[in-house]
Amino acid sequence: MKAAGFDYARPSDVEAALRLKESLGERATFIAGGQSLIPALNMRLNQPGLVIDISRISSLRNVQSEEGGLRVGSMVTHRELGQSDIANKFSPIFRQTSRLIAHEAIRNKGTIGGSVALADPAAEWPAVCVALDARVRLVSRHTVREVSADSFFKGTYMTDRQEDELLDSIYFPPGASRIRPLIAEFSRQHGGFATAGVVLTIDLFEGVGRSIFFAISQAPIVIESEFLSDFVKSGTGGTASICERWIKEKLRNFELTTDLYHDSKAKGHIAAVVASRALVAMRSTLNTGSIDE
Amino acid sequence: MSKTMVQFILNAKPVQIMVEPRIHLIDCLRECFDISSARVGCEHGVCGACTLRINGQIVRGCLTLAIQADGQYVETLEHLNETGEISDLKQAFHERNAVQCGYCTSGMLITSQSYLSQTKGYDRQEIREHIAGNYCRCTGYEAIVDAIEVVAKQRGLHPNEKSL
Amino acid sequence: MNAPQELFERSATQTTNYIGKSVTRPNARRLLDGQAVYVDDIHLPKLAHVAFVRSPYASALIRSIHTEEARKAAGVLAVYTGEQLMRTVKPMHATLVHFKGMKAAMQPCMAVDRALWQGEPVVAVVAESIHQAIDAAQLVEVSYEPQTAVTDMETALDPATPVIHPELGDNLCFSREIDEGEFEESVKSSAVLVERVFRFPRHTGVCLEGRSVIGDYSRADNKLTVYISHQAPNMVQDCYARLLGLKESQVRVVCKDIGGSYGIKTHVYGDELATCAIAIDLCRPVKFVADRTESFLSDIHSRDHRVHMKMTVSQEGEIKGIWIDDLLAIGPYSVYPRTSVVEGNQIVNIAGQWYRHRAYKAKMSNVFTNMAIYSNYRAVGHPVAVGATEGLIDAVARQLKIDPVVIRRKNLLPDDAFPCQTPSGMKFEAMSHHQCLDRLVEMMDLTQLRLDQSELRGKGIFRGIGIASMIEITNPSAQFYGVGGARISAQDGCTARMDPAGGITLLHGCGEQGQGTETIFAQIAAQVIGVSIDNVKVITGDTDVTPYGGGTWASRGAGVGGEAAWQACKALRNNILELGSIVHKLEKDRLDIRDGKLVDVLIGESLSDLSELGRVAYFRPDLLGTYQAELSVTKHFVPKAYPFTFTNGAIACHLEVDTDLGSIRLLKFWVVEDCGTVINPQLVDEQIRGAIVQGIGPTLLEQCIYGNDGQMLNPNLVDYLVPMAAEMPDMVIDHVQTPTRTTELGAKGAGEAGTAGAPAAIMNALNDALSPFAVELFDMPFTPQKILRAIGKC
Repeated sequence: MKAAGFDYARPSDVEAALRLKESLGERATFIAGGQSLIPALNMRLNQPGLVIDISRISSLRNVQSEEGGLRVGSMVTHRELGQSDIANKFSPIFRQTSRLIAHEAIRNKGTIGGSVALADPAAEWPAVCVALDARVRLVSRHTVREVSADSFFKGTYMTDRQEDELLDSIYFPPGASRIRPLIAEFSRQHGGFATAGVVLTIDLFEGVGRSIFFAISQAPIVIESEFLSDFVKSGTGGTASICERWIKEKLRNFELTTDLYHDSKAKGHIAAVVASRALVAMRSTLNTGSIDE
Repeated sequence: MSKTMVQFILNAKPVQIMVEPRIHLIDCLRECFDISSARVGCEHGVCGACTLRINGQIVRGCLTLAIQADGQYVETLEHLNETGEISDLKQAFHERNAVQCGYCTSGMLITSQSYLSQTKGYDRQEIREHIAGNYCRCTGYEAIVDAIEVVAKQRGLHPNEKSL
Repeated sequence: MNAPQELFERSATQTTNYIGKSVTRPNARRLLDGQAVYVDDIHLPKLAHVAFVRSPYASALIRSIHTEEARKAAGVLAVYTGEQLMRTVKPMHATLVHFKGMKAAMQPCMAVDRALWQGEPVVAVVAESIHQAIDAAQLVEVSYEPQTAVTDMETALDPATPVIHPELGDNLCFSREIDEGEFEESVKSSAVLVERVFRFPRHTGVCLEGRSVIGDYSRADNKLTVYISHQAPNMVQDCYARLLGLKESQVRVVCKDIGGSYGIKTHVYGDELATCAIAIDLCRPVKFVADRTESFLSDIHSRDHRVHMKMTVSQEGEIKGIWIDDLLAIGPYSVYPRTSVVEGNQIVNIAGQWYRHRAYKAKMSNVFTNMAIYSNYRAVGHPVAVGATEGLIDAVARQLKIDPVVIRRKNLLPDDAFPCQTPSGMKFEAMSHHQCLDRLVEMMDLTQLRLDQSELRGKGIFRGIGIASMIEITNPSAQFYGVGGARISAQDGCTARMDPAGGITLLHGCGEQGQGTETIFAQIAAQVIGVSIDNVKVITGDTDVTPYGGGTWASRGAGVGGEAAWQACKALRNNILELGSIVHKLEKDRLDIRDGKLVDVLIGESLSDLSELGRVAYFRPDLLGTYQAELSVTKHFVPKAYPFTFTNGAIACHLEVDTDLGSIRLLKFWVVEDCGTVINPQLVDEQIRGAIVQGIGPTLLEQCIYGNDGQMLNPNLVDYLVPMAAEMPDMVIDHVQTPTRTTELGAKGAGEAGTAGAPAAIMNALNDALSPFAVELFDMPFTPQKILRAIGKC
C-alpha cells in the first residue's frame, strides 16, 4: 500500500494555493491535516497529480472573535480548537467535540476545515456547524462567498464547494451560549467512528430546540421542534422513553443509512437513545444549574 | 514526482534528504536513515504502530509525508531512549512484561509518554482511553496499563478523584 | 507447590530458584530500545522487492495476462506469472492420511488459469524498490472472466452450487463422524433434550507485523537462505526444499524477531514461496512484506462455523448424551502442510468431553468455498467446541432452572476420574475441573456479584455473570501431524553447552514470538545447572545452527521445548560434575554446582568457578589424563505417553448490557488455569491475558464480512474491528498446578486456553444479563444490533 507518485507544493499563502489549483483543476488536490487524504493516497484510492499543502498557511490557522461571533481558520487542528480559550469561551462545544474525534495523534494533525470539506457522514464538525448556524467561507481566485452550513453539506463526501474553491474559514455567529449546544454520540470503540450522534441546541428564549443528527445519514439531519425545548424545560415531567419514541418517529421521515454492522432501523433507534439521553442530561443541568461537560 | 530536498531535525541532529513527495515519513526514516524503530502496521492511520513525535506532539508517521517534515523537529524512540526521557517507562514495561512481540512498542511507548507528560492526574480508564489508538494483539493491554500506572505514581501524579 | 519430585529436590539445593519465578525477559530489552530485528529490518546488498497483482474476484477464469508495460517500467527486474513459476515450484497438496477421505486440490503458489479467492496472487512484479514494484504492478493487465462464487456453507454441497474443483466431485473437503454409546437411546430414555445452534464468525489473526520473507539465494554456495516471520523454521526448511526442488541441506531458515503470529504464521503461503523461487531465479535477495490489505485478504482466516448441538439430560440436570453437528466453510484450497481440517477435527474430538456422559454422536462437515484460504489459528477449534458446549450447558441450566455452577459440579469429570478415555476417544491424563471451578467461584465472590446483579436489575441495570469450564490441547505428540504423513516435527531439541568462561549457551529448536520461551529455557538452565540466569544465553531460530525442532504451535514451548531444555541441561550438569570430579579427584556424588561454582557438598566447600573447569577442559586437556570432557550436550524430547496433554481451566466474565444502546461493557474476567508446573508466573499470566482478549475479539467485534460475490467487505482496520484498550477489562488470574507426569518438568502449555474460554464466558454472561427479557443469543459477534433486535427494541 504505497501511494502513487505525485508532485507536491506548499504555497505560503492562499492566493498562491488557488493559482496552483486553477492551473491543474481536478488533477490537483488540497491537503489539510492529511489524516483522511493520506490513507486514500496510500491505498491508491486517490491518485492526484499535484498535492497542494495548505496546512501551514498562517492566515488559515487563526481562531478569533469577530463581531460577537467566532471565526475559525480551516487549518486549525482538532487539538488546537479543543484547547483554544477563545473558542471555548464562545462555546464549550469545541472542547466537547474535539475530545470525541479519534485519538490524540490524529487530533494533532487533522483540521476542522479538512473535516468539513470532506463531509464524512460520521464526522462531528459538520453537525456542529449546522447546529450553530455556521457559515463556511469559500474562496477562489476571483470570488469569496459564504454558504450556510445547512446548505453546504449535500451528501456523503459531497458539499457545495466548487472544484476551484478553497475552504478558508468557518464563522460561528453569536448566540451559541443562548442555544447551549451539546454533543453526544455512540461509538463501539473509544475514538472510533460514531454509529450515531447528535448535536442539540435549545433556545429557551425562543422556546425551540434543534437536534442535528450525524452518522446515520448521508448529510446531517435537522429536526427542529418546540417538543425538544419543552422537554428540556419540563423539570421532572416527561420520561426519556417518551423522548426516544418521539425522535424515532421523526427520524422515520428521513432516509437513514446502513453500515456494515447496523441497518437503518438500528441506527435510528440508537440515534434516538443517544439524543434522548443527551436531552435528559441537558434537562438536569438546567435544573441543577451546573454546567455538565 | 521527482525528488525534493527535505531538511529537518531528526533526533536532535539536522538532516537533509532528497525524497519523492509520495514517500511517507516512516518509509523515509527506515530507508534513508536506518531508523528501524519507526514501524508500519497498516498505513491508514489506525493501528498506531507508526506513532512518532513531531514538534513535541505525537503524530502518525504513516500519515505524514516525509516532505511535510521539512523544518520540523522529529523524534523517534531512539531519541527518547537516548535522553533518558522514558527510562522509567521502559523499566516499568520491562518489569511488568508490557511488551511481548515488540511490534507495537515504539508507538506504545511514545503514546504513553505523551499521556504521562500532559496529564494532571491519572486513572486506569483514562490511561486506557489514551492508548486506545494503539493496537496491541499480544498483551491484551492490562500489563501496559499497569506499567503506565506505576510510572504515573513514580512521577508524583495523583489518582483522579473519581477513581478513588 | 505441586512440582514433580526431581524439580522440587533441585530447588531445595539452590540459593536462587528460577523455576516458578517471574523473571523478566532479557530479550525484551532490545524490543524496548526499538532495536528489534523483524524481517523488514534486515538489510542485504542488492535487495529487490516483490509486489503481487492479486485477483479482485473470488472466482474467475484468467483469460490473459499482459506484462509488457510492467516489464518496461522504471526499476523493474522481472515479472512472473503463475504459469512461469509452475516450472520451478511444485504445487502444494495439503492432505494428511489420518484424515480419512479428505479431499484437496493441488494449489499452485500463484494462480494458474483461474483465481479461486479474492486476494490470490496472480502476477509477481520484482523491482529495485517496493514503490516501483507497486507502480509497475498497476501496469499489469489481467483479463478475468468472473464466475459464480461459492460463499454459503449451507448450500455449498447443493447440486445447483458450482463445484470449485470438478476433479474432486463436490465441495466437501472432509467429513468425520463419531458414534459412541447410542445417542438415540439417550433421547428416548432421558427426561429432557436441549438443543441450540451457535454461529461463530469467520475472522483472522491481524498480526501487527504483516507476513514477511526474504529469499536469498547464492549460486556459488547453492544455498537458499530464507529470513521469514514464522513460527516453525524447520517446517519451512523442509517444505521449501521439497517444493523448490532443493535438498534439505541447501535451505537455511532464519527467524529473528517476529511481530505477532498466533498460528497465522505456521503455514506455507504461496506468495512467500513464490518470493523464494524468484530469489533463486534472479540470484538476488528478494523481499515480500504483506501490507494490511493483503494481510486481510491472504492471511489464513479461521473459525467460520455453524454448530448445532444437543444434550440429553435427566430432570436433575445430569448429562446423558451429547450430539454435535459442525459445519464449517474453508477456502478453496486446503492450506499446506497442516491442512484446513484440523480445526473441525479438534471440535468433534473434544466437544463436551470434559463432562460425564455415555453417548456421544458427532458429525463434522468441512466445505470448500471461494472465500479466503483458511486454517489453524490460536486455540484451533477449542473456542468453538468450548463455546458451543458451555453455551449449551447454560441453556440446559436455564431451562431446568438449575444454577450454572451447580450444573457444572454435577457433570464435570471428577478430579479423581483420571486418567480416562472419553467417548470421543481422547485420553485425558489428569484434570482439575472442580478445583478450578471452586477457586474461581471463590475468587470472583460470586455470591456478592449475584446480590449486586439482583439489586441493579431493580434499577434497570442489566449485569451478567458467565462461567465456562474449558480444556485445551497442548504438548502434541506425533499423533497430531506426523502420523498423517506431514513432515512437521512434534519433537524438539536443545543443545546445552558450557563455554570456556563458564557461561551456558542453549541452542534450541523452538523459538518465540514474544511469549518469553527463550526466558523460560534460560530459567530452566540456570536452575538445573546451578548458575545465575545472567550467565545463560539462548539462541533460537536458525536451522543451520539449532537442533531440529517443531517450533511454536499448540502451546508446546514450555511443555515440549522446556522438557528438551531440562533434559539437555541435566545431562550437561552431569558432564560438568564428571569433569569436576576428574579435576578435583573427588567422587562425582559429593559434587554440586551452586551459583556458578563447583561445590563439595560433603564438606560444604566451594572448589572452583565453572570458568576454571572451562579453562582446563578447553585449553588444558593435557591435565585430564585419558578423560575427554564433553561440555556440549544435545537432547531431544517428544511426548509419547499421551497423544496430547490437555490442560483445563475455569473462566468467568462479568459484564453490563446497555439494553437501550445494545452495547456491552466488559467489567472483569477471572481465570483459574491448570497448566501444570508454572515456570514463569508472569509470562504465563500474560499469555492468558492476551489469549482472553484475542477471544473477546470475535465474540463482540471481529468478523470477516463477505458479500455474495465472495468479496471481503471490510479488509481494513476501520471496518474490521479489533480489541483496543479502552473497552478491555482487567483480568484476575490464579492457578491450580497438576503437573503432567509425562515429563520431568511437568509443564503443560498455556498460550491458548484464554482464547478457548473467553467467547463462552461472554456468551453466557450476556444471556445471563438478558434473562429478564427471556432471550438468548448465540450468533457471534454480539453486535448492538443483534442485542437490540433480540430484545425487541428495534
